[in-house]
Order: sequence, then C-alpha cells, then structure tokens
Amino acid sequence: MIGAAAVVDGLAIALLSVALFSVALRGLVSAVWLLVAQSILLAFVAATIGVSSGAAHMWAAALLTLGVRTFAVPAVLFRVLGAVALKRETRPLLSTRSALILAVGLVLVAYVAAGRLELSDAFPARQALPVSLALTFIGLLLMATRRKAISQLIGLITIENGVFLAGLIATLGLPLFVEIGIFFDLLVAVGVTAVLTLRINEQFDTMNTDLLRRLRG
Amino acid sequence: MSLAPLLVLVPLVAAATCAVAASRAAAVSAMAASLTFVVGSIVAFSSFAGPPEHALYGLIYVDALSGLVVLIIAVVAAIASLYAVAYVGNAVRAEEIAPSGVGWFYVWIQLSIAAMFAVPLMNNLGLMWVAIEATTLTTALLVAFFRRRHSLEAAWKYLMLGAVGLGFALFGLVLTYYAASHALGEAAAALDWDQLRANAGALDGALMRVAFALVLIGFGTKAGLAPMHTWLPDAHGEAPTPVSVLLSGALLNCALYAILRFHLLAAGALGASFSSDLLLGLGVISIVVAVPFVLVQHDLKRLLAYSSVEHMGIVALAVGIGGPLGLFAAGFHMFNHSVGKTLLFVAAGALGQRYGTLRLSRLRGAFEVAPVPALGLVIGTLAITGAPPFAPFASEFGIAQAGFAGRPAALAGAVVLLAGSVLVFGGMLFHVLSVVLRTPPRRVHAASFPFAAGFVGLPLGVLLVMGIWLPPPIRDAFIAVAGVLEVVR
Repeated sequence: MIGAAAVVDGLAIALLSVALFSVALRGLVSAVWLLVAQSILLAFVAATIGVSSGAAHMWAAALLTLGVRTFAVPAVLFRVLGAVALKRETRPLLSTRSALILAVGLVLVAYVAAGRLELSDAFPARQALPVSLALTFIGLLLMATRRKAISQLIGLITIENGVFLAGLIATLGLPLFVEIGIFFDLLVAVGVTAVLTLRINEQFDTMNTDLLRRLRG
Repeated sequence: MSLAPLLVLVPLVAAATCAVAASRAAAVSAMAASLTFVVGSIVAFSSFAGPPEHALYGLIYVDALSGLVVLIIAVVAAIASLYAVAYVGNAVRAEEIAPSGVGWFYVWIQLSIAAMFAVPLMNNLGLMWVAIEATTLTTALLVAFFRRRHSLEAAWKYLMLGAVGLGFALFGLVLTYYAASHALGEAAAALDWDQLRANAGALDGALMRVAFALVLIGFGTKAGLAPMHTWLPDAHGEAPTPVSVLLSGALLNCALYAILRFHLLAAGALGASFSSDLLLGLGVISIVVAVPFVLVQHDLKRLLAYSSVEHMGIVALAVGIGGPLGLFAAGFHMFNHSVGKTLLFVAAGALGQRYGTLRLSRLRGAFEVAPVPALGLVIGTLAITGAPPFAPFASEFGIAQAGFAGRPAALAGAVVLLAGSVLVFGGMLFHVLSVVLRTPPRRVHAASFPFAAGFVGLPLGVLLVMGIWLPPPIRDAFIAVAGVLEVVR
C-alpha cells in the first residue's frame, strides 16, 4: 500500500511539472488548460490529506478547489480569451529557453530554502513544501516576463496555488471560514481582473501590458 | 452591545441602495458616510477609554489601535463621500463620467469603505487578510473609473502588485498559523488576535522571523512602503480624487495596521529588536526614496502621493524607534497625516477640475482662479511638511526626540527624518507656491465646489488646534494606542 505522504509527493511533483510546462508553452488556451490541471492536482492533494488525516474540512477545501479553481476561474479566463480573440503570448521578455533555465534555477532555490524551514508538525510529504515555494517563484517569473495581461493573471494564480499548497501541508489548511473568504476573494479578483483586461483591450486594441509603461517618475 | 458591526453593515446597505436607486446614489452615500462617521467616533472613543471589546461572538475585536484606525477611516470616508457629491457632479458635466456610471461609482466607494472598516475590526487575522484583499478589489475598478489609458495602466499595476503582495502576506499568515497551531492547538481560534497576543511568547521564533518578513513585504506593498511603493503614485494620481482621498488617507493606514499587528506578534516571539529594526529600516528607505520624487515632481496628485510614501515611512520609523514617546507620536502622526492629506487631495481635486489638468506647470495663478482651495493647498502643505504650529510638526518632533534618545539605529533614523523633512518642506512648498502665485491662464473650466470653506477650514482647524494644544481625551487616545503598541521586553 502506498502511504498518503507518497501520494501527495507524487501529486506535488506533477504540479511542478505542470507549472514548468506553462513556462515552456506560449499558447494562451493551453496555459488556461494547464491551470485547470494545476487545480485538479491541488484538489487531489486536499482530498488525500483529508482521507489520511480524517479532517473533514479538507473535503470542503477540496470541493472548493474543484468548484472555484477548476471551473469558475478557468471559465472566466476562457470567456476573456474568446472576447479578445488572442491565441499566443507574443514577444515575452525572455526567450522560452532562458525562461525555462531560470525556472529550473528557481526550483533549486526553492528546494534549498524549504530545507531550512523546519515544520515538524507538517504533513510528512517531503516534496510538497519545496514545490509550493517553487510554484510561487514560477508564478512570479511568469508575471515578470510575460506581457499579455492574461498571462500575468495566470502567473498570479500560480502564486496563489503555491501558497494554498503550503497551507494544505503545513497546517492542514487554514480555518474553513478563512479558507472560504480566500476563495471568495480569488473569485472576485479574477472577475475584476477580467473586467480590467477587457477594458485595456478595448482602449489599446491589444492585451499587451508593455503599452502600460507611460507612468513614470 | 457594541456598535462596531454597524461600521461594516451601514456601507454595505448603502452600496446595495446605490445599486438599486442610482439617481439618489450621491445622497445615500453621503448620508451613510455621515452615519459611519458618528458611529466610528463613538466606537473609537469608547475603545480608547476602556479595555478591549469583543462583539459578534468574538468575530470582532476592538482595542485602542483598532479604534484609532476606525476613527481615521470614519473621518476620511466622510470627507471623501461628501466631497464626491460635488466632484462627480462636475465630472458628469465635463463628460468624464457617463451619467449611467454614477451609481456604480458610489456602489464601489461604499463597498470599499465597508472593506476598510472590516480590517481593524476583525479579530481573526485570516479574515483581516480577506478584508485587506477586499479593499484592493473594491478600489481597483475605482482607480480605472475614467477608463483613460493612464488610469487603466495605474489600476492594472495596482491590482497586480497588490495581489502579489497579498500572496506573500498569505504565505506569512500560513506560517503564523502553523506556529500558532503548534503552540495553541489546532483550532480556528489559533488565528484569533486575542489568543495570539496572549501566547505570542510561545510562538516559534524562527518561523515568526520568516512570517514577519513575508507579511512586511506583502502588506508593506499595500501600505506604500518603499521599495514596494511603485504602484502608489500611479494609482493615487490617476484615480478620481475622492478615491485618491480614500486610498491615501484611509487605505494605507489599514495595511500599516496589519503590519503593526504582526509586528507585535513577532516582537512577542522574538523580542522587540528584529521586527522593530525591519520597520525602522523600511521607514528610512521610504523617506529616502520619496524625497527625490517630491523634488522633481510635475504632477500635483503624484506630488501628494510621494508625500504619502514619505509619511508612511515616518510612521513605520516611529514604531521602529518605539518607546512611549515614539509610539505615542506614531499614532498621532497617522492621524495627522490622514487629516492633512485628505485636505490636500480635496484642494488638489478642486483645482484639477477648474484647470482640467493636474500638471503643476499648467496650474498657474490658482489664488485668483479658486482662492479657497489654493489657500488650503498652501497652508495644508505647510502643515503636512511639518511646519509649526500644526500638528504634524508636533508628532514629527516627538518622533525625532524619541529617536535621539534611543539606540544608534533610532538616532540615525531621526537624522534621516529631519533631513528628509527639510528637503520635502522646501520641495513641496516650492511646487505649490509656483502653482498659486503666477498669472492665471485666460480660460479655465467652470466647476462648482460648494462648502469649500468647510472642506478646507475644518481639517486645517483640527490640525492647528491639535498642534498647539491636545485636548485631554485625544491625548489619552494616543496614550492608549501607544499602550497597545508597547512591546513587552
């Protein structure tokens, strides 16, 4: 029998690979699908920890993850993509190759940094904490190097996923009502960002945020 | 029975009413803000006088520090909402806002006020985080309300930087919760402020070190502390002026409040020096970063925004210096900055609508065009830059005095504070005087600003009186705030 910790470790590694794929690929539709994959994996992490620890609210966390992160958020993103008729991330600041090299470097940093944090009570999955840090870093990398508004939003959600994973394994999730509040905020954040993206698109006829470089000083 | 829940409830009801009855939205919003001003003052002053109070089954916790922030939000929200009536009216006549958008403007204003009030009231630090995120979301579309290119850019930057910052803060919160559930046991109460504060000594030091650093970066972004402040001048400069007032006067303090709560926890777990030194350092950096941008500024509202970066730095510095005097002055300065900056933004907004621009080089001859706002701008600038006899002079003087009596780092901070204040004083006064004193352009816009004397005179009067003589109840209030902020060494 495979222990729950090993399952969570496997899911964490899968999450990391998915995140690295989103650095490697430039298609926006595939980027949203990769986000869906991240969310499903996260929901499985929550469910696995729920089964093994018997914490009932982990099931609620898993269901919320499925509902909000897997359905609602991607649905909004697909609608935005449909409205702006945009297919690919063009001209990112870094070439795909250098972005990938940087991402792998960040993963190494995450493993080193996570090794220094001692969480003796945490769920005994060794890969989960470093992966959560790595997701956060990769999200930051996406936000910093991509120019399309929607790619930056995907980077932001990747950061959130990293923090969420850390919360799951470090403390079996935050208290449920806090968790619900955070999910609600995420949903509103995606909605507000989507509205803003559409307005940027209609003002600039593009979703390039590099035109958003006029305010200085 | 505490009145505190009303502070969130009233703006929420007002927002719903504004959504339904768009034609009456301005009046509804103004009435709601007047009501929360009264309720907020009652809640604040009872918190200064008595012990910490719980309400709504422990969901709400009000001590003197919450009380101060509630009072600041109540004052700023009232002024912003009342001023919005004239401002939005002018903007509609100038066809900057479509008449159909007016209702939504007030809906978002009231929702953001509700979110801001929730921040200092939440007992649970997780819900406090949720409330701060809600303040970002409710103000983001307001920043972009004019839908101009620059305002969209500002809103996007604000939303993205704010969200990344809050991601960091959430990571810090998770680590805090881990440390707390280790010390207090696995329960929702492990994030409740009263529990955490009482058991701060039992929290794991190494974890709280990382947690505080993350929270400081995260909420520090929202509080406009340099070097995470880059969104702030854009958002404050591009937002409709009543929104700038809310952002600068109220919202920055909400984020600073959250930092102070975590500072108290970290200090309880680690001893005062770690988090105090970080606050002191960020405060000094904020002052140093703000000065050159004030000196070379070309836009009136961005000038005021960089001044906010400086003042948030001054408050962080004051808390970092610590001691009874430093902490007293920190709370005093938070209040002074909010009142002064509110007045300045209102004056700037009134001038901006007359001239149709905020570029400093175009705002010539304001004394002839709009004497009352121009006078408010000049005297308000004197006040906010720390000229005696106004209240900011008294609070900055207290901070410097505490710094000179403190440890070497505090001494260095006080020197930076004084040098920065002198430079900002000269720079802002130069900009403002060159605005008001030259020959006015031939054509200016018509824009009404009713009750101008009240909007300008009342805040100035408050700052003048409090600079000369602090009435005993207000002095006690700041002493109570300093008592909450006092780190048990």
